[in-house]
Amino acid sequence: MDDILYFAIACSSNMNRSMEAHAFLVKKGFKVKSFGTGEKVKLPGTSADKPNCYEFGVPYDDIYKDLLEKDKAYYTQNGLLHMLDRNRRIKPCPERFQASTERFDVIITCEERVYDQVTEWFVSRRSTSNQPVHIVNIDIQDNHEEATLGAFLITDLVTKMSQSEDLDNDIDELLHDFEAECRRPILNSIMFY
Amino acid sequence: MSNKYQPTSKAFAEKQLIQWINEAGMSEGNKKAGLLRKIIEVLMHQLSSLIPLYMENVLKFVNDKTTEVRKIVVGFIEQLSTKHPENIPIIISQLQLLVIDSVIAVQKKAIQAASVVYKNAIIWICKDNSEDAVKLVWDHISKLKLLVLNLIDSENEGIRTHAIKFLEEVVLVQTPCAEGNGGLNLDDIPSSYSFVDRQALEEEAEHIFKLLQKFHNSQHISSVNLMTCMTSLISISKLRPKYLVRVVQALGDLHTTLPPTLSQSQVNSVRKHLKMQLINLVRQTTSNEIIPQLMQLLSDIGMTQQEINKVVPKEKRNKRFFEVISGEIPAKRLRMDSPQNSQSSDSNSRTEFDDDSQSSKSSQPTEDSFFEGLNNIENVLNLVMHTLTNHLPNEMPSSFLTLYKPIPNSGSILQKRNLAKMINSLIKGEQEPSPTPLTDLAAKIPLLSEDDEKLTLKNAVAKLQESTKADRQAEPLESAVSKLMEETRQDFLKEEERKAKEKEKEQEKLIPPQTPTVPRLKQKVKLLKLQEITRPIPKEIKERLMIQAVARILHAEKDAAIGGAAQIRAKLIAIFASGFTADIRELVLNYILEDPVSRIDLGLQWLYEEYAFMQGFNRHPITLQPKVHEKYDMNYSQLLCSLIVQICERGEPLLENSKDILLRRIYAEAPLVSEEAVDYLKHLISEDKSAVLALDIIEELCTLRPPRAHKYVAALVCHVLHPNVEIREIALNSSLKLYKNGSEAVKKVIEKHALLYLGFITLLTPPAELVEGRHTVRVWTDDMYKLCLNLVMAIFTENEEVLIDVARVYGCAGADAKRCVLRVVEAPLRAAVADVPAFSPPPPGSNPPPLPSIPRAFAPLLQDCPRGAETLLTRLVHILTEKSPPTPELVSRVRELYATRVSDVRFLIPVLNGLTKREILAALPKLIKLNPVVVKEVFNKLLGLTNPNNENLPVSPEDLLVALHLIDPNKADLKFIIKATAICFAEKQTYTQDVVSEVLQRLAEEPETPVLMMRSVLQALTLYPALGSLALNILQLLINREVWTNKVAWEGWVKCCERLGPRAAPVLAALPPHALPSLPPHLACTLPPQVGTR
Repeated sequence: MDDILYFAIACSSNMNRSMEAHAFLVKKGFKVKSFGTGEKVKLPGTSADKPNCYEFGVPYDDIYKDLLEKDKAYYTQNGLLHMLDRNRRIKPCPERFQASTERFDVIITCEERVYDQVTEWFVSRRSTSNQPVHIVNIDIQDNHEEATLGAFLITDLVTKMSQSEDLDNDIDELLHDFEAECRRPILNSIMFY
Repeated sequence: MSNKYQPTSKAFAEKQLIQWINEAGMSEGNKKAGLLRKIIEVLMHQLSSLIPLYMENVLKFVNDKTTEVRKIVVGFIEQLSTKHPENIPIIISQLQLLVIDSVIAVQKKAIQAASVVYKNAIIWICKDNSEDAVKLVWDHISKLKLLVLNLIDSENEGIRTHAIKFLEEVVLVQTPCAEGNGGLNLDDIPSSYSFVDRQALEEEAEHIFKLLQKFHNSQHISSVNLMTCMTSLISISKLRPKYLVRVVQALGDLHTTLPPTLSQSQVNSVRKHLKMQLINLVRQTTSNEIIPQLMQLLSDIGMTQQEINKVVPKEKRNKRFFEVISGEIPAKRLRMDSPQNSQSSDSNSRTEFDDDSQSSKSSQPTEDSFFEGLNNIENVLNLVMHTLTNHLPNEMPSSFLTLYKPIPNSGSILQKRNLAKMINSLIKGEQEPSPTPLTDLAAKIPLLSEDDEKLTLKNAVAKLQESTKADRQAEPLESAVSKLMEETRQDFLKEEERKAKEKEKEQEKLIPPQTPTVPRLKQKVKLLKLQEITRPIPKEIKERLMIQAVARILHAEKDAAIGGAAQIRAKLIAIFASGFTADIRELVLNYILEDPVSRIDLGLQWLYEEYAFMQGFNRHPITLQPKVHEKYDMNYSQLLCSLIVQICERGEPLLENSKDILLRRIYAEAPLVSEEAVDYLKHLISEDKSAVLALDIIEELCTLRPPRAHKYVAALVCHVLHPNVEIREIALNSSLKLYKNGSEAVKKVIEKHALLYLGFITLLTPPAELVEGRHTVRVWTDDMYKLCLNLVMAIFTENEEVLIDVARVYGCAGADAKRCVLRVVEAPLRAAVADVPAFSPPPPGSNPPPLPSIPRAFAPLLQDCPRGAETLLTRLVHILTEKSPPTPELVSRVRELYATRVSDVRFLIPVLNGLTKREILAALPKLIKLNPVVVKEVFNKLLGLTNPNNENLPVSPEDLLVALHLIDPNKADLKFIIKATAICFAEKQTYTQDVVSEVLQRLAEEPETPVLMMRSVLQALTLYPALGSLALNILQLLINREVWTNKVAWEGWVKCCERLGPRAAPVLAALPPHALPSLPPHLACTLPPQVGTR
């Protein structure tokens, strides 16, 4: 069982991008978890200056009901309710990456800021077991369409990584090829648990 | 409850455990792995007391054939070492086996576990244990270290990654740490055991650190390992501040010389990683001493001052000033080591600096005095001048070129400090025996110049260093090769060492080392890594090789044809030529031009390739430099033009013959004929070089490429003004041909040109197009006018509608121009009129066809004649009516115009026969006043002489003659009338005796005798003497009218009588007596006497 790579997908709120990819990957049978790296779970509100903020750990279901109550028509129309509905069927609540104690083989981030937060978290700790983890960033804009496109890309990447006999050895080349294929800049680094 | 339940559950668990162990022994693969997991789980968490008992049952699977199982064993060992370190002596030997496992995944896991086990083992040693056990473990971990150390050169990047992390752990553990928070460190290792030599350990750590540092700055490191190494170095520097300075320097070096093998995004990733690590380092308290260097580095990697200020705590920043002033050692050392300052001492290796720095304390005072000296400008000036005149070599050493870098922030206090230090060390160095100058290589390898008295691999390195040094001095090899040699040697020596140690161990009969020698030897062979022994080929050499390769392909023409690879070869060449450097383009182009006749296909293929790039059908290869890349559409055009121009202008006799075909092919087959290429054709024509060919090609282009024909046709049409008749004729003919068959757009272009040139004739002086280089004085000549008109006249035959434009221009043109236009327009007009079939005369006897209408194109001109163009219109009407009677439509138009615009009676002439009798008679007085020739023509028309078949004359000859006689002499001079009548009488065919007699009769019947009547009677008599009787009647009639009262008529009467002679006697006799006196005497005497008696 150890042979199967353990993936983590991280975006800032563990709502849209990471969950979209999470949904894709779970369907394909990968071992995957998703996370947010922000301070709070932030969702767009009825105006730009009034976002809906929740703590990590508040169930998707609760958020769903909260928004339903606040403005059903609006949140139906902008797709948030649909998204939350999908999310609550995948896992109970948004999770914060920094709070996770699990050890992954690969962490894929959806935004440079998220990538920074993840790497910073690693840099600030001292590795104990020296177990390596690859961190890869693919920039995905935070909207429904891009999230879907991004999920395809991530699925591609994850499939490639899983097919690799020896990921540690192949990662440079694999990412280089993938970058040429998806035509987006890729960041990657290696960290240790 | 638990108390009561525990013993039973434990027993149960043990039973279960035993069952699993048994099962595991019999099962295979994944099932075995699953069972093992369960066994370990139970052992670790539930039955930890039974570990010593059952441990072996798990460890025995270390040689299992299933990878997964071996990995689980590694995991078990790792867990055991952490949770139950008392078992370390047993497990540590197993781990060694796993580290050199044949499966990479197991190896990696083992190395990772080794770092944990290593640390745990040291911790275990620190506790009080039996010396034998400690010695055993110690030997094993020493061996483990060596094993992993060798793996850093593995060809598997993952293994390298893990090895780096392991070595990081080793360095951390084996380095003393002054502060308390450094975790396990050298000071914790008990020195009570005889086999533990702290100093040796520390030196080993130092060496490993240098190894890491070297690895970090090597040119062939993968980006992941580079980042791993960076992380390791930084975490070492964080926990062991003594390495801080060197780490920061290594990071700085890395920033300036990133491995060339990294792709752009890898570079980005690495830079980002570096930045993050540096920021993290800045925040550490240990980094306080080198904050200025860190801040410099941060700004080097592109952070702005604000960003840096944000990152660096304020109190640290303030330290900076203090630091620079006091010139602390770390700062200096950093500067010393950087190659930037090596210009004055490029023969010194890095290690020598290290030696110097150790003694820096003792040299402090002198160094300060140097520093002060450097602040004095005069001193510095003298020093520099002296050096320039006395110590500068005549030729620049080649090493200088590669090593020298401009000094950043020169003149700073820091730099002066460094200079002072260098001068100091230089002066000191002179007192000692001068150091053996090393090649530049020495500076690159930090592992050299260590003391010989070192442990294990230290020894090896030292020996190695000596030998390589000797080698290097003997024969300076390519650096990459010698580096490789050095590494192989090092490895070999290490191997020897290890074997020797193994033998010792065997003698001691302790746990026999299970390291098989074969994989180790394999390892040695594996070390020949292409990546390591090769270095990126310099760009120039690469390009040269590339060109040579292409040249070889080019020269293999015959071979390729024989081998059936001609197609592929052509494709290859085309790709090379289009996708690579300008040099290759030139090479291929020259090749094609050497023998264009047979290689034109290749050229065309290349053209298509370029075209594909231009249109974006092909993705641009990365090899295209961005600069070339941007103007890729120019590549196509350039190639096309150079092919054409070269073929045209090479002037080789051989080529001359085939030039025609080649050019035609290029123009016909190129995917796109660019404007420049068309311009070149124009140039050919204007230079009179192969003009005919060029014209031909343009025409071909127009017909073969209809969508762009309207662009090409302009190049053709403009030559209808060409001074050379031949060219002009061809251009004209081609234009006309294209005009006939071309699209609307083409027609429009030609028309536009035609009208433009037509318009020229209204200008006062001929425009530049016409006189270019031909006439110094710009004066119109008839030829020039004709030139301007030729095109419009040519297309007139196709499109008569241009006539109205001609008329419009004609209206504005000068007299000379008008004359020319009239002359030129004649033939086409006639042709146009003749083309209308209905104008042919109807065959006699058939029903008259419906009257033909005016050609459609002329209608607008007739309807709305431009001012000044009336003469042209007249000419047109003339031509229209020349062969056939005017149509009623035309007549009515003309009539209208005559009434409103054209007062000239000549205008009516062509349609005379279409007018009513009354109109004709009204115009008659004016008509007869015209030029006699015209008058003659008018009469011809009126009398139907020009068109003998026409029966329907509006005015009968009789009427005409009568009308002439009846013209009021006030309106027209008698002279004209006489002439007109004379014309009539001359037409004997028409004015037969009968006609004339009728005319005379009608004249006689006129109430008032017309002035010319008698004259006409006389003429009639001359023509037709038989009319005598009629004349007598007239004379008789006139007597009744008292002819003698009218002087003119009387004269005529008398003359008539004279002519008639004796026959007139009765008339004379009839004269009343009172008229007789007026009778001339000779007539009077003829009177019969009897009359006189009456």
